[in-house]
Amino acid sequence: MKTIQYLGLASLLALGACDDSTSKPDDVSPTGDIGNGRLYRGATLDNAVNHEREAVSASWALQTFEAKDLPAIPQVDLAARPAPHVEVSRGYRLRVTAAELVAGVKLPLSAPGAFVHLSPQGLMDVELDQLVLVDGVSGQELRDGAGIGLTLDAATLDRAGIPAIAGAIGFKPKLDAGVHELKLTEAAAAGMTDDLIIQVEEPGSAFHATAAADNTGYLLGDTLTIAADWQGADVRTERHDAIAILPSGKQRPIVLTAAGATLTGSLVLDDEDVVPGALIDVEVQLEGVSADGVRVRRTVKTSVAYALPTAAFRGDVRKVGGTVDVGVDVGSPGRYAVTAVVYGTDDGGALVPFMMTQSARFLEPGSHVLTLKLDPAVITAAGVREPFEVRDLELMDQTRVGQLGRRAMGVRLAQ
Amino acid sequence: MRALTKLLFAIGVLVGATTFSATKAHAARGVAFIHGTGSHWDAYNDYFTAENVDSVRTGLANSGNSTSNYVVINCDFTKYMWDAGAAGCVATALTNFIAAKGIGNGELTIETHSNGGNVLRWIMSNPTWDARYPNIISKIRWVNAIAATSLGTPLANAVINGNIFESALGWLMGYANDAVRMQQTSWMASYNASWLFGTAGRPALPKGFWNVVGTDVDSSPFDGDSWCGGSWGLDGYAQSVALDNIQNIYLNSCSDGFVDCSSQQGAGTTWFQDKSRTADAEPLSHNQSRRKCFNIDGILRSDV
Repeated sequence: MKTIQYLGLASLLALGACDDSTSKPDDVSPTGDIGNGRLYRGATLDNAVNHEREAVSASWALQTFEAKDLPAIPQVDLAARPAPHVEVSRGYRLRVTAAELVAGVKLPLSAPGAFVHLSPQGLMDVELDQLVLVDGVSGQELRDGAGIGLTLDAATLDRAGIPAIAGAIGFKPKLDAGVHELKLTEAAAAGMTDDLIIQVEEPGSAFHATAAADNTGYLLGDTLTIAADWQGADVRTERHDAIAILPSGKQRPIVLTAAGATLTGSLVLDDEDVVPGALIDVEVQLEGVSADGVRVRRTVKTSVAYALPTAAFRGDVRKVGGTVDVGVDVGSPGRYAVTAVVYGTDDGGALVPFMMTQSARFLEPGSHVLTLKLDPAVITAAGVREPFEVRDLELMDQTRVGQLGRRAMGVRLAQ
Repeated sequence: MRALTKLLFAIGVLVGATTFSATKAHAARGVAFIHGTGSHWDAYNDYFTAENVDSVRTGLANSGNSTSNYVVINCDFTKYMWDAGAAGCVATALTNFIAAKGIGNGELTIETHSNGGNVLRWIMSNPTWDARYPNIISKIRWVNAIAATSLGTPLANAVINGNIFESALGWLMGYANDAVRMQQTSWMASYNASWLFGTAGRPALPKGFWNVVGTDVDSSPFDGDSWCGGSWGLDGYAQSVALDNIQNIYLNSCSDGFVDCSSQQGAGTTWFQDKSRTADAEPLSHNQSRRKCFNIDGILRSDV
């Protein structure tokens, strides 16, 4: 059963234009906002994480707190909207079978000082003397701990009170940059049916990989676009792979294509199985060769919010006395909250942020208004006057921990 | 911008009637301790240690308050921060404490450690989530966020990736829980961009969120300071050695062995970095900052 209703796009784009008491907002591009004109009607309260039914409103002055023994409170420079997170990686991860490790797994290191963590995913242990390192530069086979510096095993971590994998081992190979090989002895692999994870961290390497999505959050029906890149050096990518792991656990491959030095790929989000508050992970594997011939491998993962559009901004924002009414269309029952930053006009005529305001209540499907309060005491204390403006308007589904709407564009308020 | 700073500072001095304003006459003052990741039944003894808590709470006497006006919460921080077992449990404990002790507006100092800072930030960023939250926020004087994981930690990434701390056994024991998942760097970045306030570019929290930052791990076997902070049945020196090694592998040079300084300072305002105020300018490792080490208890005692 199709449960998505499409709202009028014009009304969404014309936020604030539905009432005489609003005026033209500042010119902020809608790119990066959240909200796609869809309304999802199929969500129930079965997996609700918030059962509050009392309507609650709150507002607070920005920067009201006491300053301890420090001389001043740093100014918060508000961004129009949060920028997508850029995750940086200086390591990579492999999942291998015991048989593959017995045969030998290539271990490219781009700099000395790497740390290798080998974690059997089952109940079998791995000991240092069961590993064989093959130096890819000299061809020498290193056994019984030879060629290995620092080791950090589960016993050490356990003794320190840090939960550790039983049977895992971490070590620093005394190897220069090069493509080396890691092997497990046949005796150690006997009876080992579970995979092993090899994590290589290269804190001393100049080669980093980055991954970033094109927004901080997405709704059902949106297109997620991911961009991956090398950072710190010129690397020619030879292999790449990307996968999205949805909150439901479903995995979706993303095809990356080169756009200049950057790899990009997109995925249409169509999964209606959403876990409250859980994010989409996008994991990218890159392997390439630098200009001076160093082979580099990286795994980089970034994460973004994903929600069902159970409610949406209707498009109208209206100042009524000391309150601001925000129109909301609700598709599925739940507790919804609207938050906004309120700007006022200072003595110099500039708009300055001075107050946060937030309001939430439980709403059944239909057309509603959430009312934000403008605390007169905060206005007086701030010494600001009309015109006021609300910016960074956010709509949240508190029942399912979903961000449903964000409008960076300011809405000018007047009586 | 300087004028705006002054304006906003003036608001802080003048404002007296916001939803979360403070009226302090004749109200009791108190202090609450909120632990980090994990499910705790006796955080007083096991997490913060009795000698640390008892030292800090004696500071309440300086303002004529009872030194019994304290609470050490025990909640399930294996859950996401918004969960009833996490923020919901904290709200229950603080609401009961506030009522029982008659804590006044702006009179509650909260000491959080590690992920406890995220749970408090959840409450302060989402005052409408729970009808009890506004009353709690109005009572808060400020939050001292000790070793907070505000931007997550690469060690949480490692746990979830299945290569350190974690295994099939670990799942059964709850290591790779939702709280650890939540503290991955990319996950905290998402929450900081949506549900949480106080990070760069985002609106400020309604009350002060003051960071106490651990900058290093001292693991020399010849330095007795490395031994401070071991808990019952554990070896403080081994903890320092392990944290020092982990720091060198997964973290930046400025970290407390578990969290990078950038994350500890990622939300709110930095109160101080350890060496600037601790005894003998000793660094506070992640375990030491929740124990009675290098006069951190004395610093907090003077602050309540």
